[in-house]
Amino acid sequence: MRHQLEPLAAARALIDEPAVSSRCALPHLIEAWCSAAECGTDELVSRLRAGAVASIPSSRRAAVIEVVEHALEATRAEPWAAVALPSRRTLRRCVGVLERATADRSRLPWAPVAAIAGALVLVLGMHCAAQRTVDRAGLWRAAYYGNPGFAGPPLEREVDTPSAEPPVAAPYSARFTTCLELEAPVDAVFQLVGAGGATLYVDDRAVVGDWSGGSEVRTRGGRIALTAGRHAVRLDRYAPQVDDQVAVLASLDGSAPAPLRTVAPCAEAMP
Amino acid sequence: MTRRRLEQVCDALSVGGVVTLCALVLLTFRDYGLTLDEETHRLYGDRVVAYIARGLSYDDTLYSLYPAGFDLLAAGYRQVSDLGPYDALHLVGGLVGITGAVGVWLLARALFGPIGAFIAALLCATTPSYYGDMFNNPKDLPFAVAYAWSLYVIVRLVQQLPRPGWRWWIGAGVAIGLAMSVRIAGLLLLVYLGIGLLAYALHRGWHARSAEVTARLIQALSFRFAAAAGLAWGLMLATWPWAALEPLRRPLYALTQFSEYTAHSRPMPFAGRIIDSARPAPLDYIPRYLGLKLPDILVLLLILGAVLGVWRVIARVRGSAEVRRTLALALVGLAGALPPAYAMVRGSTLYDGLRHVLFLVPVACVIAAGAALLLGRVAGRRHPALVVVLGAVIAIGCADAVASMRALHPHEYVYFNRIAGGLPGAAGRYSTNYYGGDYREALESLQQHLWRTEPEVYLQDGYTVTGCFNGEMLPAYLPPSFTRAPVADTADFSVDFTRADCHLRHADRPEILRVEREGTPLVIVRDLRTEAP
Repeated sequence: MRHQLEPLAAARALIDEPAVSSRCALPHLIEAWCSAAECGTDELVSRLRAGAVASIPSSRRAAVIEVVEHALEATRAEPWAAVALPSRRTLRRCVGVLERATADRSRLPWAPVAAIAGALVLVLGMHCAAQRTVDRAGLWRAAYYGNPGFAGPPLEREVDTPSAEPPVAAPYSARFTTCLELEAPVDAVFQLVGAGGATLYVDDRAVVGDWSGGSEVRTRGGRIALTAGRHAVRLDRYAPQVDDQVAVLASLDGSAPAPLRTVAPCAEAMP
Repeated sequence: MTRRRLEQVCDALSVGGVVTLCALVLLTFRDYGLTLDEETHRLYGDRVVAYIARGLSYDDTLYSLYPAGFDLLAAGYRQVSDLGPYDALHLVGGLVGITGAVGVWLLARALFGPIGAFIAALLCATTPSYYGDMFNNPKDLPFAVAYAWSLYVIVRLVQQLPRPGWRWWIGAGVAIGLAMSVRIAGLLLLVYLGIGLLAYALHRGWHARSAEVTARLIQALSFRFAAAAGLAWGLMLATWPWAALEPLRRPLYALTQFSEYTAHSRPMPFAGRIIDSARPAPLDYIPRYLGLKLPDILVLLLILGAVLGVWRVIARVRGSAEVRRTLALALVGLAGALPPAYAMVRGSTLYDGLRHVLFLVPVACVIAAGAALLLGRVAGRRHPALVVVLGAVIAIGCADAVASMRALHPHEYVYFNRIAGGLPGAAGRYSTNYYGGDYREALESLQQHLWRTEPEVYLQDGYTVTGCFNGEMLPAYLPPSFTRAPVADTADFSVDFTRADCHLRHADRPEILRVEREGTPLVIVRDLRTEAP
């Protein structure tokens, strides 16, 4: 739209300037109308009559054409020849019609759009930050032993789940510790699904276990009543093959057992 | 209320609508299930990330006829997000979908101003096929979004001829490049742009009765067009390792492959009869699905808009007035008409309802908004109250679509309009739940059902499941005590959706659960442990 608006702005400036004859504004005005109608000066009037700039109200069209004809006549006359000019008021009206007709309605209201975009980025950022805590599968301290009997110095890691890839070769044993924080007493259900051997302890009481050690995936479950507060959870595990994994599932609210999520920091709770 | 005031209100409502959409996406993206295509695209995205990380070293696992634009974006987000892999995909998809609604808004604003833009964005956001696919369609929806944005840039560029600023040429290259980085069919957008520029140059030459004017314009525009096309092509290749090995031959080879795609042969209901999905689609495939899967109000306005649009373009061409506005309008019409016309004439393979032509939905919304605006203008000349009536009709139409979406949630994509008799009217006659997003609900319901009815068995034993679902769906939604049966007949349960009559495979066994919407079954769960009576 810029190429249409520049001559229009020039025309308006010259019409509004009392020290300058309004005749100086006419070439700019004609150029702006030619640009809007997409034609040369020769056919400007005929194109305006044909409705080339459809956004001009039909009630104003005749008046505009009259001014344009007048202006064309004045611009074609020799510079020294005296010509009758449309009044400044008429010219201003003509400029106003074109300004309204060519107003860029598709221009965006950038200020509110930018404000909303900023707010959305903020909300999304906060949402993502919140998810970083909520979506962690858990926080377990793991001690991996490169033998089946928990012997020797372990390799210690922090893992999201006991199913995490082990840093030692099979067969290996591992001890995972974490803690649960309960707001109220619950009848908890724990379930172990996996191959190899595993026993789950809560506050050093064995809840569910299976040390048969086969490579077949088995499911075992157990129940335990837990009081409100912190409870130490320990999983001792033996894996004959590196692919053998175990999942720890729990139900603390009566729904079907789901992967145990332990988001409480356990440093002080664990030995 | 003055027109200016109304435009301001519409702008405010549009911004409010985008905020509402964002809130809805954030609140509900976790509800959506994994669809049949998602795992492939997730793995592909990860492979392309690894390919970039190892210094663009190609291996055969990167073979794909699809560029990885969206997959790369989702994989990038997964790298920084702690969301589960599928939740992360669904969040990115939802946000990309909102971007598409904004693209529709911008396109309609460039053509019709703020009122038309609001109507178009409203129609788009309340189209269940679009909204439902936002979350778990990793190719057709992102392509629809990029298509809408590309059309917006093309329209703005054409409106500023003969001297559009460089930023619009760069914008065209980027937007079309993004479309091509999802589907090579985005190449069509370069054709639209070329047609627009050529038509303008010819018009100016004809008008000046001078071939030289046309030649000069073509010369001036062709360099910029080539730069935009080069940028788009480069962007596409940057996300497509397989094609980057032969930057010209392979993309064009992929394009020909899609036109003759026959690898997905299965029985598919269409208009009450069963057809082969690998055969050329019937001539009325796209019009029929557009007529039955878009909300009723959108269908009505679209038909009106198509007729009025053609009439307006012809009238303006005859009067040779306002060529840029006419051209912009004609290009949007072309973008809506050419792909289905080509598919119909060429006999392309189409299946899964509207999925392959989802990119027509944003265009349909814009055309419908133009029709609504024109209707409003005509009605307003007769009586101002008629405009209010028209607005109320559109609002009720959109509210009706929203009510259906609420009832179908989170399976909005299975929507059929009232003309089709809703989902019950379309069941068995058309493709309804083709994408498998409803398996999640079925699998989770099965888990809860077993825990409720046989807790001791559940605790001490595992279950085997069979069904027409992807291997990834089971570990995604059920604990490892549920495994996929190696042989269907040895399974404890079958979980089957209704596509290709999968749900009839074990019809003689007792049904224990079903996922249904509007009284129509989508997935049926059967207990195979019980012998057939």
